[in-house]
Amino acid sequence: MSLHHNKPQPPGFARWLLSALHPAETQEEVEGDLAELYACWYERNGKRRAQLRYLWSVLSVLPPFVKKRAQKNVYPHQTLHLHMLRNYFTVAWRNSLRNKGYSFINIGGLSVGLTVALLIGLWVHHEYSYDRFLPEGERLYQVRRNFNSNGDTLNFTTVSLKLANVLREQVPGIEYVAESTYMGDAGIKVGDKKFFIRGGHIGSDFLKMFRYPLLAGNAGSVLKDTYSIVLTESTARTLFGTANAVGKILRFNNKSDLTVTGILKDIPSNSSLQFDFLVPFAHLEATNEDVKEARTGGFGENGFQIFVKLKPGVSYGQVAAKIGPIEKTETTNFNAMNSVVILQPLQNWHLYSNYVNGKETGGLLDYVRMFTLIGILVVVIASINFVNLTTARAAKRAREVGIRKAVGSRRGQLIFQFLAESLLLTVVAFGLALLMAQLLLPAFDALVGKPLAIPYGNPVFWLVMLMGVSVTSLLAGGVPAFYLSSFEPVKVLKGALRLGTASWPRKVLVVTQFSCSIALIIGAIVVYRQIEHARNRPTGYDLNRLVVTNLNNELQQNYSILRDELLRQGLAESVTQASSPATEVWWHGGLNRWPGKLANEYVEMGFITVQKDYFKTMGMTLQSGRDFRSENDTSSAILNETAVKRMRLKEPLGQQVNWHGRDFTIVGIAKDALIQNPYGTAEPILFTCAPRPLGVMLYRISPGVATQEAMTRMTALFNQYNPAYPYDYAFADVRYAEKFNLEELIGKLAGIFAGLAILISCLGLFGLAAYLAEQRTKEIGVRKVLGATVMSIWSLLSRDFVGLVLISFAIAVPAAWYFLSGWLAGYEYRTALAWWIFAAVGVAAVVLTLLTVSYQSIKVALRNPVKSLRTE
Amino acid sequence: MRRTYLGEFEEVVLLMVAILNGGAYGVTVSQELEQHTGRQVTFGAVHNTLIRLEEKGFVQSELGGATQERGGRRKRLFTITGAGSRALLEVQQLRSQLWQLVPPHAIKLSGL
Repeated sequence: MSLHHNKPQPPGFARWLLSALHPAETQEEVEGDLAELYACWYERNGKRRAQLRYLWSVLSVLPPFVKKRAQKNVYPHQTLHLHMLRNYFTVAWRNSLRNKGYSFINIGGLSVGLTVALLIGLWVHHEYSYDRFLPEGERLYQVRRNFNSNGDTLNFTTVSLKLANVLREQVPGIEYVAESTYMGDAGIKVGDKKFFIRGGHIGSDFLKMFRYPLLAGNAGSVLKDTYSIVLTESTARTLFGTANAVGKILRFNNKSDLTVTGILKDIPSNSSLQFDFLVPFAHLEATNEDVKEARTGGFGENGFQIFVKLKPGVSYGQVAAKIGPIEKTETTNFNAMNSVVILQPLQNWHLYSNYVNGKETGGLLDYVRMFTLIGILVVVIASINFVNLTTARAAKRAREVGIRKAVGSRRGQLIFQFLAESLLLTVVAFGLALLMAQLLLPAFDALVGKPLAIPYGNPVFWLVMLMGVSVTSLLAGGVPAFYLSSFEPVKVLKGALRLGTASWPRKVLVVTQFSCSIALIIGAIVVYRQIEHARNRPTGYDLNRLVVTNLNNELQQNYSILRDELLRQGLAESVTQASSPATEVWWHGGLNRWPGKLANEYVEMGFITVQKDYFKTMGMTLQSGRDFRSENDTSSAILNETAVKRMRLKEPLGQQVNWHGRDFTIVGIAKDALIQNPYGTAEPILFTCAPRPLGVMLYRISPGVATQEAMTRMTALFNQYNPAYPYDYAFADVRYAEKFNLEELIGKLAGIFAGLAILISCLGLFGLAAYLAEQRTKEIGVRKVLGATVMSIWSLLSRDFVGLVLISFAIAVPAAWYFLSGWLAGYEYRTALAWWIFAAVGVAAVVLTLLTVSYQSIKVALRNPVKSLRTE
Repeated sequence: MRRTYLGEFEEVVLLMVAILNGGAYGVTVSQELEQHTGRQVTFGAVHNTLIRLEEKGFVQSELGGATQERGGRRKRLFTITGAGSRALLEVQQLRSQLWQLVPPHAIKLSGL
């Protein structure tokens, strides 16, 4: 033992054993501890004991006795390290900045796609939200009739008051029944202020069933009194200057004074029933003899609508069997005997308006679904851009991936990195989309005619948006993430990676994109053509300068003076009266008898009662026979051509038909006119003549008078003879054009979205072409040196893309054909699916592709090969 | 009850860590154990127990405090965690509850 050592050393063999065999993780601390302990033992127990104890302790911390510290505690491996995360975003940001063009295409395309999806989403949500705000809505139904006409089942909402009575008294599952007129305009006067306001007469239980919120008054009692009226808040404000109008009195249709008993909150835009006032149905029965009679009449006297509320816990299925055959009990009325009564649940009112064979089959729902699909397609198209551009640019990122892997990134981390990158871009695109949607919203609202708003305050909206962003970023970033992270670092860094070999998925995506875009374009064109086709169809009468005014009491009394004045002052060239306006037929039914009628044969036809000069005013022509001689020519009837055809009359003139128990002699045949449906065939119509007031005044402004001037002078004239009401008129051509509203909206939306889809697709193609051209710079340089012309290089670079677009075209054509012929089948009068539409779209797509691609390929082809070959 | 089991030796070591209050590492724990319980403990047993206690989440550790007498090597200093404190308190409570249940005179200090 050497005394000059101030510190005793443990035996070397034991120390060697410890350093050689003790687990590395705890070596330092254990060596230190044992050294300290050895010194202590040495001092206390002497060298020998200390050495023994040291050796024993070393053995106790050697394998297999020692416990190893868990690896993870020593070297924490976190996939989500903050520094790495920051690095990912930094790299993503730098990459975006370095490739401004690509970033613009990526983010721009995606945000346009998301804007479209957002706007469509708002519209679709609004359409689905109809009537959902009404509490206990699942118990509310509208009564409908399936009417069997010679084997065809037609569906109507018009029913009789007798049906309302029977439903109320004899069906135990029904809690409330409300009969109603169709909502229409009524003249309302307060003091000397005159208004036309929309509303209707409705059963007194209505507000107990449809619980539109009342600001004043009690749902159970506001419609109890016959001479009461319920107004909406804003109507009360218009009429009385205050919403607090309960107890005030107004003049209704210049017939009776009604007391305001309740104030409703304004009816939301997503309510199927739209009205500004409600008057008890009892009021109509008290003031209108016809309605009073209808109450005690039969099931055939259809002209009203009925709403019912089932008792809690009662389903439609439970009452269907009782309700269905109610009208069959009628023995004399053919219409009633062939009608089955059904109920349509409230939640289907808005979206299901088409009935085929007595079953609801769709309606607006088809369009809502169609646009949902279009929205999804546009987002998919935009996402495909992202996938294609990112994978095409993989070579640029390949080196980064190689280095990251060499330094120790695992695949999961790389996948995460690329997903985070796509999330970053998607979030930016989403922000832009929200901004664009907000800016476009007023225009979009005007287009769809609905007050849509982005529900910023609704957490569900943000949840849906969050989901949308996640799904989109996964959709767009998923494929590139897995593709890029799969590179083998050795190959990538050696430069041995051959890119472009796996280009077929990219081609599939381009084909998908262009198939969708081409199909959308074809669809939009066909919808447009169908509208134009129907609009340009000869109507059989003249809509120009034709004006329609509904007649109220005063106007009916002053009709002949007014007519004479209009003619005398040269304002109108022709004036007449009829029971239906120029563009509608208000009365339908069947004839009791005609020569050659089969037993039980029924022809559903329109009835219009007219007066002298009707055909002249309408601009209709008679095919044969004569016009009505005067208002008193009441036993004559005129049929239109279709009616003659349906009734199979060989020699119609002079034949007798019976309608409502009265015989008429056919004196003339009118040429068909498209009064009701511009898409269908002309319906059969029977015109009769009556001297009594008919409800609608038709007059055509003289060609010599400017419309503006005529309207000013006519306003003065009508105000003179109808001082209680403002001059109310409608131009027949405007009314006719309204029949195209839905199709026009669909056409416009389809056109806009199809245009955006093709724009996004072309953006993607542009980026792809730019990249591929850049990638082949050297190849093109070599080709040029060897004598290739600009033309041959241009065709080399463009050929592939044109091929892809042609394949897309081949896929899109049959798909578009299938869907469009299905859509057109819904119209009796339809445009042909002409081959040239498809050909034109195909040519346009190829031209567009060439234009998009050529910019890049010509740029590359013109480049000086000396420069491009010197790039290394 | 989902509670990590605390063995008798583990309990004593854990108590030592608590007593040493920040100054616990292999050497101090071994020495204090010997001093207070009178039994000679193997260093390996203490070392393994401390690792096991850390795995169970009863103590946490960090490296530091290198000194000359250790040849400049760092110590692994242990401190008791919240979970460790709770485990000790539970053991103590269980013990005292059980003591309450022992009938008087059942434990004879001056028995045969």
